[in-house]
Amino acid sequence: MTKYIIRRILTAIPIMIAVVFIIFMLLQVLPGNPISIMMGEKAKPAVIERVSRELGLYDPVLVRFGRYVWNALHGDFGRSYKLNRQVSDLIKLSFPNTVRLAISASLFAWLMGIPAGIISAIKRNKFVDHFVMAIALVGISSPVFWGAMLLQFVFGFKLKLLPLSGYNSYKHMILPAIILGWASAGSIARMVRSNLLEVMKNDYIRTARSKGLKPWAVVYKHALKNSLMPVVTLMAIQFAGMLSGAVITETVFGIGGIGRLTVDAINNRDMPLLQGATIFSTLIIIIGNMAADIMYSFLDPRIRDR
Amino acid sequence: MKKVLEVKNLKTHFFTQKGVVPAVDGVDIEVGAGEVVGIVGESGCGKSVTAMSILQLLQFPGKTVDGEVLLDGEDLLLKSPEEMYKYRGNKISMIFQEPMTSLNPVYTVGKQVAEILRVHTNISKVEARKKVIQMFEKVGIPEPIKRYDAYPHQLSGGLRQRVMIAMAIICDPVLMIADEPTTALDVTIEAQILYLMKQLQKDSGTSIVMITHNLGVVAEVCDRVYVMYAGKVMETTDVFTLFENPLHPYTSGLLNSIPKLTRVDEDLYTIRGIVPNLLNLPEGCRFCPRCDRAMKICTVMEPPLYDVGDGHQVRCFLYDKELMNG
Amino acid sequence: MFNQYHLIKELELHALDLKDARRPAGIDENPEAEIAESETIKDQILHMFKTNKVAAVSALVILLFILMATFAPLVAPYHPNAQSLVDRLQDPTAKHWLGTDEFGRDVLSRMIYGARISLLVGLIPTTISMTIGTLLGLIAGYKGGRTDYFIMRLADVLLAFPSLLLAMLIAYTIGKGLLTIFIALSFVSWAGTARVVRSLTLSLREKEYVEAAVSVGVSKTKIILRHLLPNCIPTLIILFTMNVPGNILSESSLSFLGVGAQPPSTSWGLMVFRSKKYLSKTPIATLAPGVAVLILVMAFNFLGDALRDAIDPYMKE
Repeated sequence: MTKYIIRRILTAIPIMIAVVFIIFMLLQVLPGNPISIMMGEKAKPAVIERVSRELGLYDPVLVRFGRYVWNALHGDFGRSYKLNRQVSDLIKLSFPNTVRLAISASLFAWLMGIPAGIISAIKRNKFVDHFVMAIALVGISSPVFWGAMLLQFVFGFKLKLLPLSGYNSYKHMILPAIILGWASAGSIARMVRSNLLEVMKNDYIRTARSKGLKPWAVVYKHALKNSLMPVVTLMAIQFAGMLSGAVITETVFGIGGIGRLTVDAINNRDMPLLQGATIFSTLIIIIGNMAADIMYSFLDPRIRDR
Repeated sequence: MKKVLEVKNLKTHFFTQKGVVPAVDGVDIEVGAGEVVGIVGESGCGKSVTAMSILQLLQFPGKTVDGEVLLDGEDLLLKSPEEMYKYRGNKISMIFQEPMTSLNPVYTVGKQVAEILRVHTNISKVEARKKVIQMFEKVGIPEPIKRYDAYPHQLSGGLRQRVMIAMAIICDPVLMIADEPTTALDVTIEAQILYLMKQLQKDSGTSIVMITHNLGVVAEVCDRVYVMYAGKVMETTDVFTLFENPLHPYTSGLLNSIPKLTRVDEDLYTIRGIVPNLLNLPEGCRFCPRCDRAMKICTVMEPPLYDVGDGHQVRCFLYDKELMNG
Repeated sequence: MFNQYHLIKELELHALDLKDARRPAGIDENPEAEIAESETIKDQILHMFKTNKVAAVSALVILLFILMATFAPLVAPYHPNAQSLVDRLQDPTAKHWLGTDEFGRDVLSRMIYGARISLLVGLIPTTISMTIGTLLGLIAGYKGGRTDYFIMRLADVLLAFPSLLLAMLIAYTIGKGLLTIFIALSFVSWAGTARVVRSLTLSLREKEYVEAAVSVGVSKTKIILRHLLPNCIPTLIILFTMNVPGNILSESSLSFLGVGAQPPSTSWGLMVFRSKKYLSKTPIATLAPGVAVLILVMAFNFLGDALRDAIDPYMKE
């Protein structure tokens, strides 16, 4: 068990390094001097030249990469060109908003998705099943930007029930949480259903029924735990995905989170900010996937003993 | 002898897209108190479906369409689902073929055995644990206290089957149905498990229905045997007569296909042909296309069960006195 | 956003199940069975269309979209870029069924042209990335050793990126635009396919008929093409129908964020992006392109689900 966890963590480390390197390279091959972008068109070439040299922009790429990683490990991701603030500070400011959104969206997804999947599996091939599964499919098929704007229109403009955008109160979180959670609720419901049906075919379900357990007890005690284990993995991965920044939801609802930060950085050609934000997001995904695998090993006694 | 179980004219059909499959087609079985009754046949002959029908564990598309299943004189087929829960695991218990997959991998084996007690009796958790550990000791599980908290994958196949047996007898059922309980096990383990079942049966007086395709198992533990073929009982008699004087050509075919050390010079006998497709059964006797002694009548008429004395019954025209003598 | 990690894991597990698959009772262990399965895949699909109404309707919808995109100039009532400032920002009228945008362009006509982008972005990058993924997966699974290790670690790295994010980074580097999206989607999302094909190959390699072929000296290329690839096809079809809607959604999302298609492109995502400030004024004209995305993606997803049930032997009863 401990061995498994250590091995899982060790495999994540080279991936993290590779990912950081790829992001760094993607942003460094860019033509044009970032300093001239930062200082604007009026800056004198000599000044640009001097600043670039001072910042070490003319050093070999690998040297710059090493320096970047070294600084990053000390919490220094550089300064944003556009906002002229420490990238780490900007991330620190945005992340809580993303976390709040991720938690509310996940809660919505879990509370909707798991029961929906169970009901669908129990009422298999009945009307309820088809109905729930159709809604789940709409959930995973609808473009988030469209769903978000539809909700804005209905609840914001027409019914005037909820605020259109911003992130100051729990009321602001309702619409974004629903739209972000809907897609993941859909995939959770589908997975719960198919896993539950799969698990119900197992021999130990027959054993449970032969013991005289009632149908709900067979499902609840013997099928559910087994079928939810992979779903927990899915939920963890989705949660990590939301933590890495719900780009579209944050953009539509004007939530100042990590995703919004990334999009703004691209549109402002703010390289250090983009670099810091993407590295941050990607590391969260890697850690999330790792956590999901480790969590699964805790849940399943068969893997636990390995 | 008091009859514990009487199955009369049981018909269980599967309603598939390709048509109705009569997996069990009018089966009669009797089990006396304290008796070990074997049901033998090739795979697909309907022996497991018979067992599942007795407990009413079949799910769509399988359905029992006709017959009676009398346990101590009460017809289980007339019971409501609510009432049936009280029978399963309590009065009739079942042991399955695959000890590897028949236990839930995410719960400890002790908990799974205790569960059956908690369902059928008002026993406290502590008491249940005590009783399960006692039962583990009784079925020969070493270190029962430690094993209580083991997960199925941590036990060997033999130990798992002992757990299943503990689960099957812990509620003192009147009848235990064992569906190929030793097929998945090593030969040495098989002998131990069969011995254990025989011992437990003697101690408790529980009747056992032993479903198997292995005639060795039958010889080992059974008192009486039903030979099934394509959803019907072909022959029934006590175990000695079965081996000494098998009457049905199918039964003798089965017995002849067991390799024997005393007959090294001969080729191993096999029954020619294959089990018929239940979707389109041959007219007349179901075994007819594979039978060495088939007669004209066999292709047109289904033989009834002929009583040849001492509870020996056989479904074959060879034992129709009028037909054969006249 | 669209983290496919779990889906890929699930398919991988399915592939591993193949190895010690407990076949449903009544089906004999027949080495020909695997080959026979891929030969009758056409029949399976035909049977699905006959019996499954949802699948038939979905296929019909997709076909309609394809026809509409192909014959857009004939179908569309207006030229997609024809501006008419008098008619700007209208909700549906008899003249403009779905209203007009800020330049008075007909939304319906633009949407009809937009189907071209969505269909192309759904089909072409998916084909490219799956070809790459299949090849690398076959090589990794069959060769094993260092080649396998290298390819799989590369796949792990790519899978670690949220797919929108990587596309956005590429857009930043080589410039925004539709071509960028095509490139990003083509060369980024092969990793999932590669992993699934690799695990399939690993389990197929141990099958008797493959071992038999190896033992009589059939060349590696032939084994891969004759024995391994055909058996991957059912899974590849399932993966394809899973990837197409994913890519359509990615493109529309990226275009909505302004890092994808650029004006005056008729990308559905871009159309919503450009008119989002007029949501309260012309809601139907603003939201209509999103409905198109929804319908097309749903059709692909329904079809994918049906195919999965029809083809995948391990999902069947």
